[in-house]
Amino acid sequence: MSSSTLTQTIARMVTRASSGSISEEQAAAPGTNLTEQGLSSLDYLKLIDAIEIELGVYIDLEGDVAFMTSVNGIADYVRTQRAM
Amino acid sequence: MVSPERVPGLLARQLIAALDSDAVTFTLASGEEARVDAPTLLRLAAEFGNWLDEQRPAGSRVLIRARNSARYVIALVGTLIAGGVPMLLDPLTSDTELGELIATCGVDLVLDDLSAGPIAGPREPLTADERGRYRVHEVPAAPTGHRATAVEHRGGVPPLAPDTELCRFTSGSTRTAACIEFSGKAVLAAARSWIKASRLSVGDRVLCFAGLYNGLAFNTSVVPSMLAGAALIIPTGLPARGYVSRQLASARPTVLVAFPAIYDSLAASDSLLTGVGQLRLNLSSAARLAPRTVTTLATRDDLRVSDYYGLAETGPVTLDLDPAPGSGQGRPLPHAELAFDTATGHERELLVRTPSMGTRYLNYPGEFEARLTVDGYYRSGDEGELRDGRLHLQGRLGKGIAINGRKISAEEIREVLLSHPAVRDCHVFALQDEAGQTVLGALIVTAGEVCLAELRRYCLDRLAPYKVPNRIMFTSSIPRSGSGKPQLQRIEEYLRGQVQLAPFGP
Repeated sequence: MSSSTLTQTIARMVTRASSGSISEEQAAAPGTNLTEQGLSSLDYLKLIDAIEIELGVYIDLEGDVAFMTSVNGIADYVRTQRAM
Repeated sequence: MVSPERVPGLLARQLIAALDSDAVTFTLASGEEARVDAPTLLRLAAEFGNWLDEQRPAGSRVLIRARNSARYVIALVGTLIAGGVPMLLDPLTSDTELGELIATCGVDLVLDDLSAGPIAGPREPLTADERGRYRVHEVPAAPTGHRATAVEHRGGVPPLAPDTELCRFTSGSTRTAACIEFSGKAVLAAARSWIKASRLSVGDRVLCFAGLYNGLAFNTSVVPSMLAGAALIIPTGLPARGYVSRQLASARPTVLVAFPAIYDSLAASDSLLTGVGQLRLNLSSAARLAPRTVTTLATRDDLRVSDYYGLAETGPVTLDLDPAPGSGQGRPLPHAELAFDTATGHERELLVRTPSMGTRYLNYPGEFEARLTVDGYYRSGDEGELRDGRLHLQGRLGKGIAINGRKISAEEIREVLLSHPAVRDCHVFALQDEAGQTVLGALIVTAGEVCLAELRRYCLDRLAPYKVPNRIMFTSSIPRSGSGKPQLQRIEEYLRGQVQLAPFGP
């Protein structure tokens, strides 16, 4: 999956997790903080589920998951996990 | 070993007696720490108590704003052993909200985590009150690793009731969180009643995802497990579906304690759950479970959820050991008395009297007492009825907002929004999103353009994240009557054209 395709896929997951309240464009915009866009704690749980299931990436939820607040942060994490 | 004679509180003495008993096999485990057995817990709690003795005078009020961990339980028991009064607060509480509680509840020491949450990032040090009511200074970190901040009040603080041994907080019925005082006798009554009704015993393994500050965890898991000698397993990660499934598979619990969103998430999974075969009791409370979740889990996974009824002020009230879809909230616990109000015309308002009731609200004098009937029943604000001895909840009186089981004061959120320099007027409401979940909305009138992300950041700095509206809508004016009161019917008509408003419910 190319870098831009991965970013788009994650942005789409954010839109779905937020039940449409955050658009793909908003989610993928550079510097966007998903919490400030209105992603709730339950939405984050849905997003984590989607990443684990659809991208096949395990997220250590007992560790630091501050990368979850931006699409780029999530994309970097996914790429790092896949390279390991 | 700790001597019960030097411990002032009934709750501390009973916990020590239970943990020190040869017959009790309590163990504590969480993701980040090794398994802690009862003697080790007592030793670590005594070390914590000695540290607390060095920092603060006896009887200090120790507010714990920390996330779930074994260290939390050690700090809780250690505070009690040292004769302090633990005050258990939602870790999502913002610094602004915390500051108000420090001042109005006479807090002497704050224990919290170095970060506000796994997603939220590091916490800033606590600072002195802007209104000059108290000063703070950091003290050496607690043996549990919690950040510790000592508080010096400039004026007097409200005295605790003579028999208060622990405080917890509740939201929704007052403008800001109300601090409920509990006697040791009340805490023990809740735990013993629960142990008896749930048949909790030495062989049980309790996997608890609920926040330890919350009644769902505190009254069903934390104190009962210690008294009954059950194993208490406290996961520390975010409860996403995969994580919950992994915890179930590794912990093999007999009792699962979780809030409705976790059951929703498990029901939404395509695959059968593993590690649930030995579960004999699955607890949920606070918000009503979706019927589809209850049915899916019961038919597909043979996992029946006991959606028991309890209130922060009264403790647990009902339980069903053999729940079925549609069977309601269960039968009254031993010593819990239920009645329905006939005096005020709310014939279905549930009245509750238990030996585990709180004493009063420390920071809202008279408001708890005002909710009691002459016979000492607490007016719940919930509607329901008893059918075949089981309680069936039906809704809430009044227009309180509840999001994922957390009661929210619209007035508190409105005040924060109105304090933003660009907000002229606003109305806070609950709506249903496209997935059918209740979320918080705000209708806002602004002077000039406002960046939504900036407005949310402003709220996030002052309110717990779950109180920050997800859906913010702008309008030119909010209909008001001649006296300035919002015209709710006209506002709701306007909103109904744009969103699905949430029904009011518990």
